[in-house]
Amino acid sequence: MKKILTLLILILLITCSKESGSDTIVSVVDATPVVANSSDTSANNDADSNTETNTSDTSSDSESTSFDRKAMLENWVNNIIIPLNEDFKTKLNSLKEETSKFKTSPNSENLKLVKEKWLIAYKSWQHIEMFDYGKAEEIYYQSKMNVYPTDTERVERNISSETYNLDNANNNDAQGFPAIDYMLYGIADTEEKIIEKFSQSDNKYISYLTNVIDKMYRVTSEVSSYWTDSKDSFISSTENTATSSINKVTNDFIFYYEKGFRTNKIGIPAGVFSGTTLPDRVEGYYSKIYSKELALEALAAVENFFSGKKFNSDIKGEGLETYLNFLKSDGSDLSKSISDQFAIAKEKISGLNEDFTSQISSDNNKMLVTYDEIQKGVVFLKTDMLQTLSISVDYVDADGD
Amino acid sequence: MICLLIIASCSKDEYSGPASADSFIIKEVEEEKIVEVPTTVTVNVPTPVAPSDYDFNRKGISTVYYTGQSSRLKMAAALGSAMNSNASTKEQIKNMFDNGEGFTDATLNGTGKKVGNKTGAYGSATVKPIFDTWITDFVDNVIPAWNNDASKGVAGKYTDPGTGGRTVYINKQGKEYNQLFMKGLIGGMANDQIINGYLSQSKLDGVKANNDSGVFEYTPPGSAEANVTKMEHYWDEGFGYLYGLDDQTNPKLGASGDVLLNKYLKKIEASDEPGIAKKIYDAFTLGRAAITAKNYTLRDEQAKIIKVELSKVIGYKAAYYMYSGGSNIDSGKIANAMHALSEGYGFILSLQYTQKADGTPYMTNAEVNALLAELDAGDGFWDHTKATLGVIGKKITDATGLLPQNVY
Repeated sequence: MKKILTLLILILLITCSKESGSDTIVSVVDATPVVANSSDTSANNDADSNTETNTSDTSSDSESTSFDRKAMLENWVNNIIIPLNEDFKTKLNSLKEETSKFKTSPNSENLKLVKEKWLIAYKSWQHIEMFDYGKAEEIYYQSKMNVYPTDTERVERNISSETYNLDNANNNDAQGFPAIDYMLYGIADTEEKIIEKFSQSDNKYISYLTNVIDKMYRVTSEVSSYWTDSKDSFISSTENTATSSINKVTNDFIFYYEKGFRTNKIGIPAGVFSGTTLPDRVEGYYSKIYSKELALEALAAVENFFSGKKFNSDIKGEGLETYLNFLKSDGSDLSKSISDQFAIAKEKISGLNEDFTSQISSDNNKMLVTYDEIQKGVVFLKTDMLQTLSISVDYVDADGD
Repeated sequence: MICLLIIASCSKDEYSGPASADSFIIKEVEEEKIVEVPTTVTVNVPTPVAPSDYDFNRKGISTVYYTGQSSRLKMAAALGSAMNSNASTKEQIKNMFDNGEGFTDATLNGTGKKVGNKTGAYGSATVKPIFDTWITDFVDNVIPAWNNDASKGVAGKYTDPGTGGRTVYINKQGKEYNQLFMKGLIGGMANDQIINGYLSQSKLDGVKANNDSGVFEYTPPGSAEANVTKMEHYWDEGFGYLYGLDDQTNPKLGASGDVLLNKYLKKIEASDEPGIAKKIYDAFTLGRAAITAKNYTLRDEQAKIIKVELSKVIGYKAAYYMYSGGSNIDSGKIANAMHALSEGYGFILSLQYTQKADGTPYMTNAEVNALLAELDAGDGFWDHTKATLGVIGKKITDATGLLPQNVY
C-alpha cells in the first residue's frame, strides 16, 4: 500500500506594523488552505515589524499513523478471552462439585445448589459462545455446549440404554446446558419426582447428568488450554486476510450476534423464520424463567466485546469500538450508533416477560419488535462496521434459491 | 505535502490586550498558502457498451434464469384468488403461503419456493404476522358472512348500484383482503426482494470475490454445466421479481398472471411516468453487463436507478388509492371505495419497502404503522370521508414527492 506522508507546516508570520489612529487587531485563526501566490506579501510591512514565526509539525492525518491492531489482539486474548475461559472453567467445576454432592445426597437443598451453579455457568457461557475459533471451531465446541431445543427423547434413550457416545454429533442435542436444563427441570412434573429419578438405585439419571457435565468440563479445558498456548500466534496475526485473527474473530462476533443471539434466542421462537411461533425453542425452555436473563447476559457479552471491556472490570481496552473511533470519518459516529442500538435492544429485551415462552403466547409482537431492534444492529455490524474495517464477511446466508 | 504560509500584519502599538468584540476592526490581510494540486492519473475501467436487451450468454448458452421468482409470482396470484374465495380454508391458505404447497397448479408444489418466507424478509419482523392475521380474519369472519349484506361494523358482501356495479367481500372495517394481500406483496415481497435483497450492495458485494475470479456457481435449466456466477445470478433473481412472468428480452408489462409489480409498473408507465419502464429495463440490462465486466461502480449506479424508479410505482399508487377511495365515497360507490382503499392499504404497507435516492424509504415501518392505524381507527374504512382520505393522501405525497395523476 502506498504510503502517503503528509506534512503540514504552518508558518505563521504576524507582522504588526505601525498605523496611527486605529485599534487594529488581526488574528489569524483559520488556516484554511486557499490558493494564493507569494507576491508582495510584505509590501505593507514596515522594516521594524515584530516578526514571530511559529512552526509546528502536525500529524492530523489518520493515514500517517495506524491503529495498533496488535494491542487490540492483546487486549482480546489477554484481558477478555483467556480470563473468560478460565472463569467459565471454574464455574463449570463448581457445577461438577455440586453435582457430585447431589449424587451423594440427592435432596432438595442439593438440587437447588446444582440449579444455581448451572445457571451461573450458563450465564458465563453466554460470554464464551461467540469465540468459535481455533480449538473451539475444530471440536465443534458450541455444538457440544448449547444446542437447543434439546432432544428429550434422545436424552431419555441415552439414559436408559447407558450406551452412548457424546462425541458423536448425533448427540449434540442431547448434551450441554439445554440437556441439563431438561434434566434438572423437565424429567418429571414435580421436584420430588425429579429427585426420585436422580435417586434411583440404577444411577442412570445421575450418571448421565454427571457424564454430560464432565464432558462439558473436558472440552472447556481443551479450549481454555488452547487459548493460553496459542495466544502468541493469535496476537501476531495482525494482517488483514481471511484467516487472520482480527478478521476471524470479528466475523465470529458478528455471526454470533446474528445467529447465536438474534436468531436462536429471539427469532426462531418468535416465528420469524417459520410461519408460526415456536415457543418450545426458547433457551432454557424447561426452567422457564431464565430465557430473558440469558438473553440479556448474551447482549452484555456482545457489548463488552465490542467495547473491548476487560474481564471483570469497567476498563475498556483496544477493541472494535476504539478501532472504529480511530477510523471514523467526519460526520459519522458508527461506534456510537452501534452502542446506542445495543442499548435499545437491551431496553426491548428488558421489557419482555422473563419467560419468553409465555411472552410469545401472550404478545408475540413484543418479541418481533425486539427482533427488529437487534436486527438493526446486524446491519450496523455486518455492513457498516465491516466496510469501515475493510473486513470481508466469511459466512453467507443460505439463499434457498 | 501541504505547506501553509500565513503572513499577517497588524499595527503593533495600539494593541493593548484583549478587547471587547465590538472594538474589533476586521482588516483584510494577504495570506500566502501553497496548496496541494490534485494529479490526474488515467486508469482503464471496464465499461460495457449497454446491451439492447437482457440477453446474456456463455458459449451460446443463456446464463439467465429466475425460475424461483416466476414460481413465487404465480403463487402470489393464487394466494390472491384464495383470499377472495369462500371455498378457502385457513389450512389451505397457510399451506400455500408458508409451505409453498397445496396449489391447484401442481407445478408450483414441491418446488421448495415459498412466498411466506419472502414476505417482509428484509424489514420489520412484525410485517409477516400482519399477513397472517389477514388470512385468519378473512377465513374466520369474511367467509362465514359471504352472503350477508356488509355495512359499517358488519362483514359481508357489498354491491354498488347500477349495471356492472362492483361487488366486494369485505370484513367489518371494509377490507377486501385479497387486495391488501396482493398490494402488500408488491412491496413486501417483490420490491423488498429486489431493492433490499438481490440488488443491495451488501448482498452483491458478499459474492464479489467469487465474481472477480469468475467462479460459475449455478446451472441454468438450458445448460449442461454451471455457467453463471453468483453475482450475475443474484441480479437475475432481482430481475425475476419484476419480469418473472414477462418476456425476458422484450417485456410487455401487464404480463399474464403477474398481479404484482409488473402490472403496476405498466400502469405508471401509462399514466404518471411515461418512459419509466424503459429506464428500469435498461438499468437492469446495463447493470447485468457491468457485473460480467466486473465494474461494480456502474453496477451500483444501475441498481440505484432501479431502486428509485421501482419505488415510485408504490409511491404513486399508495396516494392514488386514497384519493380514488375518497372520490368514490363522495359519489356513493361504496364497493368501489372499499376496493380502492383496500388496494391503498396494501400499497401503504409497501411504502416501507422503497428507497429514495438517499437510500432511505419513503416511510419507515413506524410511519407506515401510524398511517395504517389512521385507516383502522374506529370502524375502519367506513369512518372515512373524502376529506380524511385527502389528509392521508397528502401525508403520502409529502413523503414521496410524487403527485399521482387523475385524482384531483
